[in-house]
Amino acid sequence: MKLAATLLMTRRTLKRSLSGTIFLMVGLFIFEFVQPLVADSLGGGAGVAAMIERLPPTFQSILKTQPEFVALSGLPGYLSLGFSHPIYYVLTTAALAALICRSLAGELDSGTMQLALSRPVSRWSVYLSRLLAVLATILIITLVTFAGMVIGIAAAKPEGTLDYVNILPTAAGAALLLAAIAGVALAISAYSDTTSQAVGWTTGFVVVSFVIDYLASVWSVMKPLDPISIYAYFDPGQGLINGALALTDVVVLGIVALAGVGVGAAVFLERDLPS
Amino acid sequence: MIATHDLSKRYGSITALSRASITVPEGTIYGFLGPNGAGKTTAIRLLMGFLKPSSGRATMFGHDCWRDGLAARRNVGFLVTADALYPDMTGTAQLDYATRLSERPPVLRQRLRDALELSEAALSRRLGTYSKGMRQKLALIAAMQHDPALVILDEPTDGLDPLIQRNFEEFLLGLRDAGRTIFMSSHDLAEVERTCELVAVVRAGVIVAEERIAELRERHASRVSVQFQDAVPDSLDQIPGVAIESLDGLRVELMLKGDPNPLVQYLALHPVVDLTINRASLEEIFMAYYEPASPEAVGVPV
Repeated sequence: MKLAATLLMTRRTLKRSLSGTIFLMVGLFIFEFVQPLVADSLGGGAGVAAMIERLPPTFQSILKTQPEFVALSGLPGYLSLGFSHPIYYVLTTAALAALICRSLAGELDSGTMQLALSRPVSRWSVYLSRLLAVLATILIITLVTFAGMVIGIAAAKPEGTLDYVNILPTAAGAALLLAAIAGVALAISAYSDTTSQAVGWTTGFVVVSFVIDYLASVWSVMKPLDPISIYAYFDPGQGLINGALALTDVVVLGIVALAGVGVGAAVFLERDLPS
Repeated sequence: MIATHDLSKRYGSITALSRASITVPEGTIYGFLGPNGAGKTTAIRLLMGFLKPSSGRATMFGHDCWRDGLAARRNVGFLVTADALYPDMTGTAQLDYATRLSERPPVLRQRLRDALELSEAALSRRLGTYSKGMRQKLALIAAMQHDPALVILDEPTDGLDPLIQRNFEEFLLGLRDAGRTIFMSSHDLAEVERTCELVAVVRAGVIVAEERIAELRERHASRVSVQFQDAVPDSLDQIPGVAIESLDGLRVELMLKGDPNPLVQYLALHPVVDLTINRASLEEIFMAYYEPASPEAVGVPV
């Protein structure tokens, strides 16, 4: 395996997705940037808690929070909502899924992958190039997300304090969640013959996982199923408020990520290329 | 250079290629012929390591195409389909990308550009704006610009106009003269006849013939048209290797297989007004393999 060829393909993969990624990252930055501004305009933690209290419990569950949590936790508690909000999930998942499905299943589908695989380039090198592009994208998403939040705090100066050290475990948890989604998306893309097939299955996985987590929080019957959702292992509130990152969350999300990457590699290295 | 041994590819109950064994010698242009769905592209994709063989093996430069694909492809140029190029890249960027993946300098790029008449202005445009013919030209340059020892081309002149096609054929012959090996599939039998020395014919996934075009022709019947001056001799069909195809007054259409001398000696004894002998074209030979109802017309072994 030649590193130069791998890095060349990584750059190509990132460049092909550049415009879409930039668009989504701008959206993500703005979304996280406005959270402190909104908190300030609502009157800090107490104001936000009052607003959340007016929401029906099912809506509160979508945000994975309760008014007393925000009232007690203050600014960090409110800011953590920015990482459990559906808009955050949609923007981050879209950026990752688009990159992975397009660069793996998409290039299998269009045949552009043949250009590399007809040269002295191994399949492992092609797969690794996509993996590196995914890791770079996860890093970018994480940096943009928390940069937006920090700059928003600096601009709005909302009531309350945030211990900036707590950003690290929260960012690590967020990156691990994205890595788990990416791992599954890689496995699905390596198996798929078409972009639409890969996008469909990846979207299905994310949506089902989210819905299970949501239903488990509002319906006791579904509670036993919560552990099968990857979103059950991401708790930004614990990260931002207490600077904690549960070992269970790290292990489960890490295993899902590594298993996905491993299955994807095993499938891609042995599969027939579609005609 | 290329060798396959009982190479097969099955998709469930469908056999795309069955026990194909061919040998492509170094320094030749080898034609791989067959209609759509016969198994040509499957064979090429097996050679390139895009498909895993169901059984048998294929080698290039002595390296197994599946298990040791990296070494097998080290000195190969492969023509990707024209649609399999990055539409967001310019022509130059695409060629540079291919060069860097090949890790060999593009020593033939300019000659190929000249032969295929692809201008600098065209190369500076994004591929999304290219016509099918232009994409095919670019794919050909990308496949061969690094002067590989073995070139594998699937329908190389598809979408090229006749003038460019001839230029490209000249280019291939030049490569062959320089010791390169070319393995190509084509629907264009005239093109294969002009460029290839060796051919394999594949039908329904099975190699039904593999030999030199000259020998293939010799084994197959020539078409002879004779117009006699006075009368058609009765004993014409008793000449060794001769079969009467049709009779129209004093004109007789014959199929001649093997040594022509007995026929020539016979005709010398009978006044003839007109005589033409046409050797079997590759197209006639090829069609004979696909029309089992009339194999004897060109002497196909059955």
